[in-house]
Amino acid sequence: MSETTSQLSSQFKRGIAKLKKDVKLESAGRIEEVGDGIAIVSGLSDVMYNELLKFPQKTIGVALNLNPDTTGVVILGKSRHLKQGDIVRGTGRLLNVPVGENFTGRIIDPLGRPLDGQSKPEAKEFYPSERIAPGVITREPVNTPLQTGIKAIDSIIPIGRGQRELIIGDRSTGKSSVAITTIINQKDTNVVSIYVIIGQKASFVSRLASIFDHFGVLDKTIIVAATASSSPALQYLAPYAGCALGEYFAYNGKDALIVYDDLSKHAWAYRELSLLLRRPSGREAYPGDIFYLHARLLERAVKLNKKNGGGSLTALPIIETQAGDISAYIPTNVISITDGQIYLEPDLFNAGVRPAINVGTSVSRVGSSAQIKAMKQVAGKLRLEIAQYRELAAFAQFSSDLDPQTQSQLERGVRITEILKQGWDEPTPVENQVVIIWAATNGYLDNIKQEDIKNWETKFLDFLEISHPDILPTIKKEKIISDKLEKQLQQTVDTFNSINISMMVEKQEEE
Amino acid sequence: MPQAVSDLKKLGQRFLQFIQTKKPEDFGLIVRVESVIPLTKDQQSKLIKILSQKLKTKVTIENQVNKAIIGGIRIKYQDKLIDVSIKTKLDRLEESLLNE
Repeated sequence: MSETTSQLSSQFKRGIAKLKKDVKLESAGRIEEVGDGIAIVSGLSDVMYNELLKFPQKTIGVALNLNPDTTGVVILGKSRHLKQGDIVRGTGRLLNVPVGENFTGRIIDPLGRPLDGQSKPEAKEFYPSERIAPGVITREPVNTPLQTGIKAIDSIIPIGRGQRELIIGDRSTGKSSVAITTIINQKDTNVVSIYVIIGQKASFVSRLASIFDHFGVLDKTIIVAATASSSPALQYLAPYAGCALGEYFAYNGKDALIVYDDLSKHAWAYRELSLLLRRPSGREAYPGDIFYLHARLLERAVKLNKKNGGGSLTALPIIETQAGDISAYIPTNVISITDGQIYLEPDLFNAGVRPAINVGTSVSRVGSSAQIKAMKQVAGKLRLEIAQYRELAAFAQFSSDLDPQTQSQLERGVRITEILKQGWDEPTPVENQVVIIWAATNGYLDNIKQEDIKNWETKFLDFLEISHPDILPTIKKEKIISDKLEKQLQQTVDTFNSINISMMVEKQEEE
Repeated sequence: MPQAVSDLKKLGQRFLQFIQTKKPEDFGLIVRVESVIPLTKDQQSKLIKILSQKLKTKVTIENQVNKAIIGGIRIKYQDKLIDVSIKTKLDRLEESLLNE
């Protein structure tokens, strides 16, 4: 007991000693108007754009509008106690956020304050919330895959480290689930994940944390949360704060993944701020710099070259559309900024295709450079099969009598659609994906009953592991399907299918 | 009515004459000093002496009583602030103790 008291008193002494030297000339202003989380401040003649300002009672704000006589300031946090005439101090520093390894496994707000009831995480460094994206010289093309564990994405719309891939779709089509699966799949990789929550329910934050904890990825994930009850200023700041955290890992040679969930609400928060700051409004009442708002954020996703540490920051922004309207203002903006989009459709979702990815409209502009060789070998054929199936399926609706070839093509298409289905909580390792897709595109599933496909997949993988325990590790290691390996696979599938007659379509047996 | 107008005109002329005889320096800098109890004449003249030396202009002090600062003084001029009040010191102490 006495020890703690003496510790406390020495802490006090140190604190007081520090204060004595602390007499200096400060830049100060005066609140002229305050309300709605915005303050108009006079004075502060040498204030900088984005400068951190101090209000009474430890409240802080950011200067966003610099006018000749006044400064428009957004207040971060509570503003009820502020009144006209209060002193506002300039700090001479730009707004910065604490970063470091200690933030992993934590839930924080955009200013680095803990939201999980634990002690304040210790900051390694402070990074500016707004930073110019790395230049051309320091970057290199995206060349390493970021495995999402989702078959439809890793095979058809691959994502590379340092890429920006948009997840877009209506409400409750599984947008967040795609991001969550991807983070869960990073369990055995060295990727640090950051999940930025903007304007979502607070219950979603705690659910997210418990999901990550359950799958054992919480200790390499940071949740930055500005929920619907946070002020628009904090919601506006959240993605930049999350990005600064990601940059800390990327600039230190590590790989980071950041999810912005979602940028539509970020745009709304910024619109609210801009209207309150009386900035002129444009289309859909968004301010003129709404494009730059997202462009400068997403441009900070990077794949650094070897000389600069080789780190990467992959961004998965999420956009919620209204009734499937991807030609609205914010969706078109973000689509044009990102390197491709994953388009989720309610119709598919309701038809039981989950993840409800529309493989026709989804693209990845990085393409197959973000895939391992083995996946490239099987994905080309998969893409072709799906394209043919979609064309035939549309046509087949009108005719009842189909020739056997069309019939078989349709059957295969159905099976391919079936293997691309998977639960959000079951990410598939890439070597397993390769084998399953190889089997489906080479017709080994054509005789399996549609309702047994899922069953076949799990049982076959188990069988493969027991009969040829070396195949999957070889694919993982060598990243290629050699001729020898393909022969082995063929034999295994044939054996497996001959054992499991019950899964076969009965018609086949009669013939 | 015309009488009032000509009076106003005269007033304006007087004001202009007054302004022209004075240089900006003569007005000095108005410095607001907040304290818990009113500053004495002696304290004020001391402050004026120090401040006019530091700022290299003539200084006029305007004393305001502000109980909220607990002790010490707070000097404000233009948009500058020298804050040596007890209130601010306590706030800083709290901040530094919380951050440790």
